[in-house]
Amino acid sequence: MKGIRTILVWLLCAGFACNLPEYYLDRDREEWALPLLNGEIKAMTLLENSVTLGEIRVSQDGTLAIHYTGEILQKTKKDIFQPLPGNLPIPMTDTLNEVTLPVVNNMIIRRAVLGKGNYSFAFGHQETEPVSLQLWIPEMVYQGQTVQHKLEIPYAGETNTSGISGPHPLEDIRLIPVNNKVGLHYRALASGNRPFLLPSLFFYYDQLDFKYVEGFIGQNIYDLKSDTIELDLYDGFVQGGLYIDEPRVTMQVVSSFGFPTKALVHTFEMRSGQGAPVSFQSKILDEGMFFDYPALGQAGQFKTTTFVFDPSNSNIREVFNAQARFLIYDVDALSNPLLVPDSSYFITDSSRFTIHVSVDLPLRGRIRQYPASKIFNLDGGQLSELKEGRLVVQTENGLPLSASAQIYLNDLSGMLIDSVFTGYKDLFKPAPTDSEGKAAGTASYQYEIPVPAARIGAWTKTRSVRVEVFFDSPPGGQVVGIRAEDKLNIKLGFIGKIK
Amino acid sequence: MKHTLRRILTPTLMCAVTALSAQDRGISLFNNTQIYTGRNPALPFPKEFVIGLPEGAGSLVLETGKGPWLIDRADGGKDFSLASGWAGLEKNNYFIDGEWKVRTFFLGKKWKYGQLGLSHEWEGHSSLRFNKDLVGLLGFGNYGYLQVEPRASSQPLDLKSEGEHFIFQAFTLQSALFRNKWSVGAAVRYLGGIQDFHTDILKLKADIRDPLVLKMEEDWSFYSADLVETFSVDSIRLSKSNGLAPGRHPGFAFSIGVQYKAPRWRAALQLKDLGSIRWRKGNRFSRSGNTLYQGIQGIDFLNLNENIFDQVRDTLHALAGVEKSEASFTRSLPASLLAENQVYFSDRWTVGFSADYIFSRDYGYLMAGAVYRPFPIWSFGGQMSLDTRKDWNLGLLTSLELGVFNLFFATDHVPALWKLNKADRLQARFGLALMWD
Repeated sequence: MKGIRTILVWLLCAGFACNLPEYYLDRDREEWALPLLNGEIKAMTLLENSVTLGEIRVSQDGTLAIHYTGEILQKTKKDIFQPLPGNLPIPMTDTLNEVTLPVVNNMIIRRAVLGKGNYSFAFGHQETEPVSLQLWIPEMVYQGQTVQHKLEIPYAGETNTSGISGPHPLEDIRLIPVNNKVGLHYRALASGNRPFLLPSLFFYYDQLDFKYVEGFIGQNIYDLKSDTIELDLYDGFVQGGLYIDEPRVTMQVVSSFGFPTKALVHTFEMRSGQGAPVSFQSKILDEGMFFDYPALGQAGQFKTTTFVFDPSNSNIREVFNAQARFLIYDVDALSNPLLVPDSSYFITDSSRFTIHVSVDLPLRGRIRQYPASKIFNLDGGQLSELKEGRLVVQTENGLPLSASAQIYLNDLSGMLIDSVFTGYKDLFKPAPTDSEGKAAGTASYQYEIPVPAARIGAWTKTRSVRVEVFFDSPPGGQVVGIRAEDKLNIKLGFIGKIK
Repeated sequence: MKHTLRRILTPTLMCAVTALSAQDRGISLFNNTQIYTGRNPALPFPKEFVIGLPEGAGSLVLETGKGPWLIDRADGGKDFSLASGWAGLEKNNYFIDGEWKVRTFFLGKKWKYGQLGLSHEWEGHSSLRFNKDLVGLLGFGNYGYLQVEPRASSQPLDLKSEGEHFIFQAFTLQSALFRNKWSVGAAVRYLGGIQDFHTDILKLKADIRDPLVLKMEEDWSFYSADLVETFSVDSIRLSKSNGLAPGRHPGFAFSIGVQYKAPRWRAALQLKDLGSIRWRKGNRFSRSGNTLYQGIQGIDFLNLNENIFDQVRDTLHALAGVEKSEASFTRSLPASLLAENQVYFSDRWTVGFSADYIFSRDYGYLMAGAVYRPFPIWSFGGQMSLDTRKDWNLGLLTSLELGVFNLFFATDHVPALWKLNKADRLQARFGLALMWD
């Protein structure tokens, strides 16, 4: 009889076929799966969205690191060794006048190559005949020859004869003082080679500068300005939420000054957003920071000294993980810190001294409830095509982190319409890790976001979606490392009934 | 895609089942006393003058499993449920074949050595061959089918199916010549196509194993004339053009027949409906290639575009785009070869045999039956047939001859009395004519 009934049903259907309004297609059991989106979140991108002040780098082992850098503090030869102004005439009252060189910047000059500047001689006499004047300075040599000048001063019929020789350039004259003294010699001859003392003879120079100066340098303090490095990695974390296992501060000093220097650390501390400053403690600071320098004969070379503050030699781990926000440092340099007697050092015209402080925060550590929030504009009107169902999210996580999230739906005015979950919902599970805490595979996870028929109407008014995500490293305090290639693949699809 | 397939499938199914009844088997037992569509043109008219009034004939053969395709709704209505129908499908391939004919008039005149007739008919043929997976996919959706059909989670689904539907009208002119015991006849039909739809599916596979990955292998096309106007992933628009316009889709067909008549028996042979219709203003919709869709790729979830849903929709449209082109095509009518034989034992008893074979459908039958005439005005009979699907059928027929008024009713299958092995069948033919000498 079932066959008969079937035929009768067919007959009935056939008779009215295409025009029967009371016959509907039964779609109650349809459940369609529709892939929507397939994408990924790269660890690099995630970090780029969280860090704006630092530079994201990839360490040699592939781990991501954030590099914050301070200003390059610099002192040049001009900053610490200004040219000596001249202008005051040095009287030459005798045929040999020994002039003691000034101690410039606590430096006793033993050898030098002079820089830009000029010198000249001014003379005067009452002889009534032509005069021959010869001047020389044995401690000054130019192109292998002692600096000397010979002047033939004609008689002009005046009672007093005067004049100026020069200006003569000082540049590239080699200065080799004896006992820090330079001898100014002259010989004046009248007719018949009669020597006589000039009643008036002066040596002028407009400035005394050095292209190279060598000698004993005493202790000078070179003031380098204070600097602050601002960090933003810890922003948004609750206290202790981010634990970086191996933070590192690097101070790199490059010097082409030919004398030893020691850092005078006035301030080297970390400030959190609100808390009191926390000072660095390190045996590096205790032992003193001596900067390497080019030795005599290495003029023009740069010597680099690097100091790395890490957990092995400092309390940096505690300092940074106390919600670091600002690294403040104020360092001066002290020359010849050991004050070696009779030591000989040098300065060249291009000598330079730079201090560069940087902070590296390799992403190896622990995370607890690291927040990420983002608002997406989304036209929920398209949801009207859906009847009911659920959004299915499949994750393939290569990050050694898990996350939970809540999704808030807002209308055009930004008012909250609904939240997708009743509470925070796990989004993905952490990838398995190797002994170093790096991801050694992926973790698959699937969850569903219900799209109930009763709420679709309200959801269609959605114009923006605020996603709040909290990231966590695996429980148990395991330290994990995040590499540049780590990523989270996400497939999003809809399963349910479609209108 | 599902919308489109469903919207194609549903009207096709519905239109297919509009065809009432089945092939002409038992009616041949009345071929010496009644006038009906498809009658061998070599057979002399029963009377000198014949005016055929409307006649209807139709057949429906369906093998659709044991499931209830129509289910009751709470409000008393019915739902056409693919999911319920699927539950009764035990093998993979099923079919629905239907055809109907309506004669509007027939005028015939017989002379001593010949006869001439003119008639007009409407005819429709529908055929659908589908498989279990296609029904399941449409009834349950890709995800739903994955839950109910274990094969769906282990292998791609072959959805290859076939559909055919066409309607035309015909003006038929037939004549015959009689010579002693022999008569030969021919019928020429001018055909006017009204609508056509047929598929040409070389490959149609869906891989739904991963709910979030859609894989399709496709190489198919379907042709339509005055039925489907536009077709896309989520919509189908039926044609508003008028297939009734004269000469829009012209065609010709002819039938030839021969009869030998002895005093106690006669035999006839007919080659029927050799011809075709040229569908001149049609469309071809096609898709070819492999599709892999996993959602919009390369999405940066941290920087989602606000129009992402629009992108999804546009991407789906682009992926599921169907190529449309204008096409003219020729479709042959389902020609057949019909052999008939009657033996007259007395004025009351006639025994008859017939065999019919439809070439394009590779389908035929053998029939044997008898007619008893208890009174001059009333005849009735029965017949048994065996078709190439190895189904036995039991049919009944009856006629009344009330003066000039002649009417008949015949059915080739009586489901209440005889249950078929596999398919359900319904066939009926009813006709009325005025005949006199």
